[in-house]
Amino acid sequence: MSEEQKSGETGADISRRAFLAATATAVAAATAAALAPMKDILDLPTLEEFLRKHYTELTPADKEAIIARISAQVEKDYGVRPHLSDPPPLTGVEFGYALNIGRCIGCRKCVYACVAENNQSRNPEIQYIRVLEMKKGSIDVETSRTEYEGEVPKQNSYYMPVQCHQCRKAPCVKACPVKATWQEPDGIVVIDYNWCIGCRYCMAACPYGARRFNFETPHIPKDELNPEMGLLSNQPRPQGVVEKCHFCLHRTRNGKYPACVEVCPTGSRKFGNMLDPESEISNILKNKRVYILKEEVGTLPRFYYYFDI
Amino acid sequence: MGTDTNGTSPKIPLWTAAVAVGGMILLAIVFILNLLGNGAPRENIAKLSPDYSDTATVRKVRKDMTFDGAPCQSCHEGVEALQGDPKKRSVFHDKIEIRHGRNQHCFNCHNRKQPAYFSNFDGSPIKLANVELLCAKCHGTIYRDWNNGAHGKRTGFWDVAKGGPKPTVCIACHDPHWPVFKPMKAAPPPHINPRRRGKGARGGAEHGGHE
Repeated sequence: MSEEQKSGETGADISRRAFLAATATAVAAATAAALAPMKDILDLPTLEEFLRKHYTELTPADKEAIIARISAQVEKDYGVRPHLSDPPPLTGVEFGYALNIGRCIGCRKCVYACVAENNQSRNPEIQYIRVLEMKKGSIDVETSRTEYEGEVPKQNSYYMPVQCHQCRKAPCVKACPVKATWQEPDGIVVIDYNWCIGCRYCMAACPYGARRFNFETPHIPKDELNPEMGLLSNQPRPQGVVEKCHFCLHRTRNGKYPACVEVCPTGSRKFGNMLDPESEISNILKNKRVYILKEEVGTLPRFYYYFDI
Repeated sequence: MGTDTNGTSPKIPLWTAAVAVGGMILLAIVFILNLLGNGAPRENIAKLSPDYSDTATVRKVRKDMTFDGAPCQSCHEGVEALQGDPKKRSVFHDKIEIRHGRNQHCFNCHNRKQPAYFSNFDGSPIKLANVELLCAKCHGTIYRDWNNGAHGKRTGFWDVAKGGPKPTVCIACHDPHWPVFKPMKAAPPPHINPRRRGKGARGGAEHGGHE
């Protein structure tokens, strides 16, 4: 009471009720101002998109409607009519990938061919392939570098590109809380971009660092958009979803090689059907010295490194 | 003072209220005028060069055996077998640099009698179209791997039913006079954190690629 008396003498008191009312109003004003940038969010999902079912529950008619809707959206955004398809997995095919670690010179052409093929965001930059510059005589990825520049190959270095290993026991598939990522019968681990909630548990689970997150709406120049698109592969992704290498499934399920295989100037990248005993990949797995990255984590990848000698 | 007559509500000094309310209004002004800015500007990323996704091979394979555009036959009639070291004997071939390991002799590969062809073990000609047979004379294991698809670039279709792979010949990548790959300029390194200055890409992929 003495305090009240003292301040009462100065004549500069207000009641607690008035104080709370004034402060609450000011806090509300500050919060509103801080949240003001949210009014710029324009790419809210449409009702159809919001109510869409999981990819595996879609009927062919649903898929057609979705393809038509996405095609129209892409045409509106990029001014190009895409050829959007959803190739199903081929029967009797299990894809495998082998990379000749002794031939790779680290030129990074695969990285950029992949970016162009798969409509990855240019800025912020998303790349599925990381080329690690390794010290000769070591397979320690902790001492590797990704930021090398200039002429390659460098003295006392070899190069190990890393991308999604399409594991048979994929930790990312186990980690996903909403089953937005799963393994297809041909071995490709795919993502339903519409179902992904962006929690990034899969990224934490992946021992190969193969998954990328769209922190911002992907930016692709209109003239660089690849109109050959697959629903589960390189259709333009929204903000807030995870993406990764899918062995270019819109190409490989139509019999073609992935973009990275086609572009490699040294022929280090090998791709094919592991169930075909005559294929190049079967031959490599049978006859070459094959190395599996982080074999001890038990992911059983479908991506192999091999040596000539 | 004492406007609050019930006496149960404690009094708050006016300056405290002024600081609290004024501070909040100040914050609101800071947010509305965006006085804090948008953080560090994003790094400029150069436009994607179409060269990086060019699927062409390292070298162009010529269709015919020529030298400076002239066919071999225009100088070498092929009546008599060529003798001596062509690099020393003519002003035409002296600039050719051979760095092919211990294989330093022109006529190990080129045919003495028919210079438009290559030479097999017994001196019989190998055509340019079958140049892989020439290389296979020494590089047998690589020839085997090339046939099986483990060595060399392949394009087209992995699926044999759709047309099958298109192999590239040895000399589409290797210069026969200097077979080791010349150094190439690497494409730009990744911008792992777009808002961080410099190329702090250390430990990107192997630590889970947190971007």
